[in-house]
Amino acid sequence: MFGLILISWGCKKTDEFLTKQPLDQFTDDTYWTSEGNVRTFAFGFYPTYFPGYASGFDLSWGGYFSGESLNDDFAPLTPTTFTKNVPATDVATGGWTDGFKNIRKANLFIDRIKKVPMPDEAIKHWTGVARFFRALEFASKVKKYGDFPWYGKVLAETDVKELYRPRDPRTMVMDSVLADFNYAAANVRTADAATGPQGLVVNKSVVLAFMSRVFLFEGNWEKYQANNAAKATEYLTAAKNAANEVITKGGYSVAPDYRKLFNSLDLSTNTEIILYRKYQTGLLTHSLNSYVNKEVQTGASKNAIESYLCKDGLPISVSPLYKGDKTIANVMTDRDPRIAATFVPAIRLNGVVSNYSSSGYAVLKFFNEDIKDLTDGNSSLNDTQAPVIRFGEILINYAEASAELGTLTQNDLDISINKLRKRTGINMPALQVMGGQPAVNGNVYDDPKRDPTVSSLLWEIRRERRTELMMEGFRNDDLRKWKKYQYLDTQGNPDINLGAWINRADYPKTLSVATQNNAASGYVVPATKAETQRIFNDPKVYLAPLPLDQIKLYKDQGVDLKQNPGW
Amino acid sequence: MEKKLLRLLLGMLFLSVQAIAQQKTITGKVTSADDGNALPGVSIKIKGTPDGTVTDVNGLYSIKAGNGQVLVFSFISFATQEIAIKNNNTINVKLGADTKSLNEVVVVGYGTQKRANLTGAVSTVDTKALQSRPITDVARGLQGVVPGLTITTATGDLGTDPKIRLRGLVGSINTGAAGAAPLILVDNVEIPSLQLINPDDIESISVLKDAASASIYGTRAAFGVILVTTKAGKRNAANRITYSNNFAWSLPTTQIKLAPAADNAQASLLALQRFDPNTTSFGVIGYTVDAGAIQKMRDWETQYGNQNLGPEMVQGRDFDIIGGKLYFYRSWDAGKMYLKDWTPQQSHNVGISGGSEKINYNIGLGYLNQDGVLKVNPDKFSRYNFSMGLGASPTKWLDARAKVIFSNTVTSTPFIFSSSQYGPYYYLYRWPANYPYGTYNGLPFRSTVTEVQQAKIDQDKNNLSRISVGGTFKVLPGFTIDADYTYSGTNEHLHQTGGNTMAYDFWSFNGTALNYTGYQSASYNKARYYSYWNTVNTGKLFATYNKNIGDHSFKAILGSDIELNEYTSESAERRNLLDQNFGEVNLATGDQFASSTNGHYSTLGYFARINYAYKDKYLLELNGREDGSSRFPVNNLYGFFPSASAGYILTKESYMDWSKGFLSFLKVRGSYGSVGNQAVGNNRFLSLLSAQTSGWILPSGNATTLTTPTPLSPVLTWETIRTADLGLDARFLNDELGLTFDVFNRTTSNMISPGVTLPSSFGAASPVRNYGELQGKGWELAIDYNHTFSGGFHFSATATLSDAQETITKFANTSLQLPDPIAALNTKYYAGMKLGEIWGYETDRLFTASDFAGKDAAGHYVYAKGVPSQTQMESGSFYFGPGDVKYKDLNGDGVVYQGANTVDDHGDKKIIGNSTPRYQYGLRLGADWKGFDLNVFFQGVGKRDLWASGPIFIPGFRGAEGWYSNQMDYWTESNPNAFYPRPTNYGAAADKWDFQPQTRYLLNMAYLRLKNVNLGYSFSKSVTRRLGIERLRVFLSGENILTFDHLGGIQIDPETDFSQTQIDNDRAGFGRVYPYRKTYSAGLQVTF
Repeated sequence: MFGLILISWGCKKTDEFLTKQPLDQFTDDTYWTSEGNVRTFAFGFYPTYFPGYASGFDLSWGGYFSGESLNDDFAPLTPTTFTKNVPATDVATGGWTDGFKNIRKANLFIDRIKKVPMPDEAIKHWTGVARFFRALEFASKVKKYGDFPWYGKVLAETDVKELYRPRDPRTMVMDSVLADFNYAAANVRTADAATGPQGLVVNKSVVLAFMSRVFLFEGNWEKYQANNAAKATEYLTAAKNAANEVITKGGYSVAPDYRKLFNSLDLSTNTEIILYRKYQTGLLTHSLNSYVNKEVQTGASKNAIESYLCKDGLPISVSPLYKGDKTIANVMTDRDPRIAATFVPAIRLNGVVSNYSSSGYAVLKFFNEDIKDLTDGNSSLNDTQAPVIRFGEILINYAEASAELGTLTQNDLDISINKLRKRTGINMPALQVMGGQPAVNGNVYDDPKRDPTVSSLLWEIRRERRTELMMEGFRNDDLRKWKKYQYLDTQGNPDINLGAWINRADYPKTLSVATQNNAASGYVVPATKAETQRIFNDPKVYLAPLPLDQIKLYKDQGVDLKQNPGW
Repeated sequence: MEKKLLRLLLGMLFLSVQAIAQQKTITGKVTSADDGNALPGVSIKIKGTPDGTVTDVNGLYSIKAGNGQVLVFSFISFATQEIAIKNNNTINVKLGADTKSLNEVVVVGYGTQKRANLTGAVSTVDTKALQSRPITDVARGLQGVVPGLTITTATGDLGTDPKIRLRGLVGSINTGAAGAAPLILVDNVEIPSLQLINPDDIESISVLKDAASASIYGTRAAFGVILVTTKAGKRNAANRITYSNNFAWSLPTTQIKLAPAADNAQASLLALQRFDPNTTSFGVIGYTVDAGAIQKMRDWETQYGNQNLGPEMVQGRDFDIIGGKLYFYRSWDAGKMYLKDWTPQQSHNVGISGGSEKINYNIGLGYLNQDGVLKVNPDKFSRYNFSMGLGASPTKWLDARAKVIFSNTVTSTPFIFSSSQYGPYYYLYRWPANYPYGTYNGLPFRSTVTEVQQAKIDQDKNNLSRISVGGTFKVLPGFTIDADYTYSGTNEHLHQTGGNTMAYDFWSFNGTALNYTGYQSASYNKARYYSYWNTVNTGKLFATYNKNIGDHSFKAILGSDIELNEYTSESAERRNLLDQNFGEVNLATGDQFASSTNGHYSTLGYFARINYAYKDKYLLELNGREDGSSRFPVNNLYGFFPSASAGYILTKESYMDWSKGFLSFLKVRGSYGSVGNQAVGNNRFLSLLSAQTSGWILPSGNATTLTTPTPLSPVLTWETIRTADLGLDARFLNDELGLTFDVFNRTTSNMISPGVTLPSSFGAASPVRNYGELQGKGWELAIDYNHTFSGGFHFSATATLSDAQETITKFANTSLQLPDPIAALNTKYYAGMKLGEIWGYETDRLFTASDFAGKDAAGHYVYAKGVPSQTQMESGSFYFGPGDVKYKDLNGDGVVYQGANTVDDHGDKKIIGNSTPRYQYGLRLGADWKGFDLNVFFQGVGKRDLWASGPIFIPGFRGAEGWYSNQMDYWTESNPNAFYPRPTNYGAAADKWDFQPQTRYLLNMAYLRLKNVNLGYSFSKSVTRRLGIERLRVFLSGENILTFDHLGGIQIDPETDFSQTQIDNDRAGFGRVYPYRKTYSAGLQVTF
């Protein structure tokens, strides 16, 4: 009798009773069923590659503002240092380890897309999107580490040989990145309305825009750091062509208001925006607006302020319009209007105001006055939208690539930089090229303060890039690709550790800043300590060191994972 | 077989018939030797026959027996007596209490067992000792009571479950936050939280510790079982009504004290000046501190420090706005303003029980109300319990039973305007003492107190309803079949109402005037409902067969159990409330959010057990379980897990007669068994994609995305846990002194662990495999003593002491990285690692100027000759100098560093401590005399280290923010012998510079606590009976009233640990948590 009960209890369905698949989660076997699912998966890449102003109290602000301060634009109290030590392990976002996670994700995505029942066009489009993300990851790793192992598929734990492969040469990896970009440019949809509106999703223009950014860097690197003329030409050409396609076919135009690109509550109709990150109260907010308004900030250097032209298009060293820098009004008078759109028309000093800047010069660029007293304008609750990549940068990329290729014509300047100079409210005289020399209003000029190793024309192109893209996180990469880290040495370039000129007597006794030689008047010196000066004496810092634990792991397998030179 | 049975049965009948020939009727009354009360329900058997009877409600019995036969009187928790029938016809018996009797029946898996015959490691809890303690749940009461159980509470929060772990903390690296958590069964069915059970409803608690006794419950019992049996009433028992109450008042055990405002600011300034010597002022969330302000703070303290100025702040005196900057001078004691001095708690319990020959019943009603420590908008915990147990024997062949348990708890807390790890306590102790907790023009400043004050109350309700029905079918004598079915439903309903907080938001001070405004993120302006439902259907069916043949006794069980567990949750939220007083989703107008979870799992097992005893001297038990679980991979649903245990009672041997004088009982026992572990995480054997928000905002909202599927090894299977246990039970001096000792070795083999460390190029964490092995070793000792002196003075003592340590014995790891100093965060293991070990430096002392030979050109100190360099530990702009921590150069290479931070190259690091609690003990001393009873209970941990985090632990964790009074003993040139180093701003980073894990600042968390003192008086029956009261006891009780620890100035309770939300999110909140409380209480217990 008892046995009978047991049998009826168990019945033949016990295995079924004990098989319980998850009800509220997908498995790798059940997920890849429709284009909608593919689209949903793709959003997992967006915040990684398009951080915008980041979110919450993330004070890196996606690399905007002082989120990237290892450059000559910023004059901090404690200058941002070069990497000092080889890390034992790497856990930082954007580091060695993190990179492979993104690569695996992209390779897995590329593989799974093939299984999804959808039209060939859709498969090609999404494969293009996935390869675009993969290209972005490899490009950023190459930028940081140089040589890097290329993987085009998801590795299994048993692929020991592949896993412990030494690094591939830089150009080999970048050739693959170029192939990914080319595939993406050829197959990604011009617009993908089903995924989201233009400006918020990856489309062909987004791919081409990033392609110009990535290969402008890489071409310059090959030219100045690697001395590989052939590759430099190949990559710079790729950058120029990609930029050209955006310029000629993208349908974008320079927007009338420079500042509105950085402090708008709505970028959806801005004609200059190729991709932006949307912020929305209660869903996703950042803290950049609050910081440039109310917090103590890292200020701009005298060097950065002086790089702005006068409104006649001439550098301050030669322009008759330059008023000197004894007052902030003088600094801003008759200058390239972008200076007033980027910096606060007041000197903010420690001991005088609470939202002081280390140099006295404070940044305005990302500040929206309309929301300053609203909840949205404060704390980490800011909802101004962030440009991820904009047409203005593409114009500069085009000009710089052309100049570096040595093919720059007046027409090249007119379709690029001069468009930015003609922006409503900027209205700077057009840059001309006359006999390979820069000129404005028909007059050739040469900035006497120029780096003698840089040609006068290139100097002006680079100045335009610095001016237009000030505080947008480009400067460090630019100095790296041009091999100009010597600009970062605070002793070799005292101007990058100086701020506004002040007369102590003009301020209350509570003033708490150092001036040169502690004089009664003079330039503010943000970093006073000898030990905090940034000295550039070892080119090894152009590439980041590989984490030690990885080198050891490879060594245990008899593979030499080479450390970068000098580390 | 059945024929044999029948023959046997007939034989027995024949014997009884023979006996009847010389029979007479014996009558008598059985009373309690203790109080003279009649004892109903006492079993009276004629030795050697199956005949017997029980006493009626008045303790009277009558039985037919013959001269020379022996009557055996037995009753639970009384000593059994045997009386031979002579010529008398009346036999009155007084039974003496026998709390530690070897004849005590102990509840074990699917049955009961006489204590003397136990072969596994089973502990029982004296539930009487839990009564009249002002504790809210049983789990807290088990702390220090059962050797081998580790019960911890990371914070003093109301209504939370303590962590219960058995024989070590972890068990397997996959058990997650729960650790080696035993299966908790109430009336044989799992319960999610002991919080839901009224301690007053509990009849007995057994803890099954080794595999041999627990494995009958299968995979969920991998780390033992706590068996809780609730009251069901007794047969032939008087109808009784009991009432008890407990009124308690509690106050925090420790209080965090911030440094005086001016001292705090001074320390901040010093810390910031390290990085920029020109710093003369700094900002803290909107207000400024400079030398002038520090002087003003001092002046304020001198002038007004002792005055009660009321809450209103006066500009110029208490704060100021100068040159566009805001200054605060006045000091506040946020803790005092926020926390009550005393918080009340009360509980009431009513029980009604009784039984006749055929029926027994018990009804329990309970109410508990605990007020929280918040002064301004008090939090609260309350619980309502109802339970009913019923047993009936409608026929000779059936004992039917039914039980209903209902419980409802309500936790009310003010809405928290931040994520849970940054609750009010985080902020209450985050800012310096001059943070403005006052008002201006009668209106408050932005602060956590203001937020709590204006918050609506969240209500979190938990319900348990459980219905069980079952019966025992008495098929043949000695052969029964038990069938039970239980439906258990738990659900949780949380209702949250957010809103905004109105205050002077000086955090975003605009440079001119204070701005009274609402400042909370729009995401908090919401109504939210969250519900969780869990239903468990459990069926059990088993047959038991008992058989004695001569000196051989057998017991066999064969059965099966099945369980289906289903759970669902949903959350609905809508932003932008129309009115903060109406926190309803349909009365809000903003964005809506909804989410759900849904899951299920099932288990099914078949088990068998055979017990054999020869002359009650040689004992043997064999168990086997074929167990299936849906948590295991589909191709491997079942596993077979056998176990065996044996015991040998030496004192039954004649060769032990020499010891009779002092040794009354001695048993040695041993067990070995295995069981599968399903506590390895849900869906461990599947490659999952979890849905989450991407953080990429589309016009339609935050785009949903899915995580990258994790790589999975195809050969992955379940873990097996094997436990070997050796035990010894002894009783001395006529059973007055008892000792139980166990040693165990619990091995978790095939432990799911990362495979060989793969290089980063793999792109994911190495897929797990059954590579690891973990071994827990330990021992448990329990001693009890009972003695009644002439004159009625009764003394008792119980002591427990246990230790367990877990070691990783196998682990595929080639990188051999050193483990994280905080065990709960650690993911790095190596073979030979003792879990909980803390690697760090040995601290020498603080550097003095003579350790350096001046400064170099860059202004950095140059180490004097012979002083090991610490340059490699520098980063950013931090450079070591006088007043900083000098670590020891253990490897003598002239450099202090961690090497590769691996086990084989750890530089100057070594193991400096271990966070696993060792030598946990409890000691209860009890005495009663003439109605008075006194119980004193000590509990403690002998050894435990902790490397903590956050500002409570690291002075200058965030340099410009709050420092604590004990941290003012920092190094300056004039205070070179300070405990803390030269002030430094750590910028919220732990484990660097002067605060590398090290011996000097390692916390010694060992403690001894007077957990409970209980003084009671029972009125004499002669008095109470006149009032119609059977028993009346009044008592005074104190909980946690004395603590001895080694924490020095650190302002934490020694039981503090990282809470789960701190572990998961941010450890900086360590210690800034809901306070632990000491409690004083009084109450009474009445029986009618």
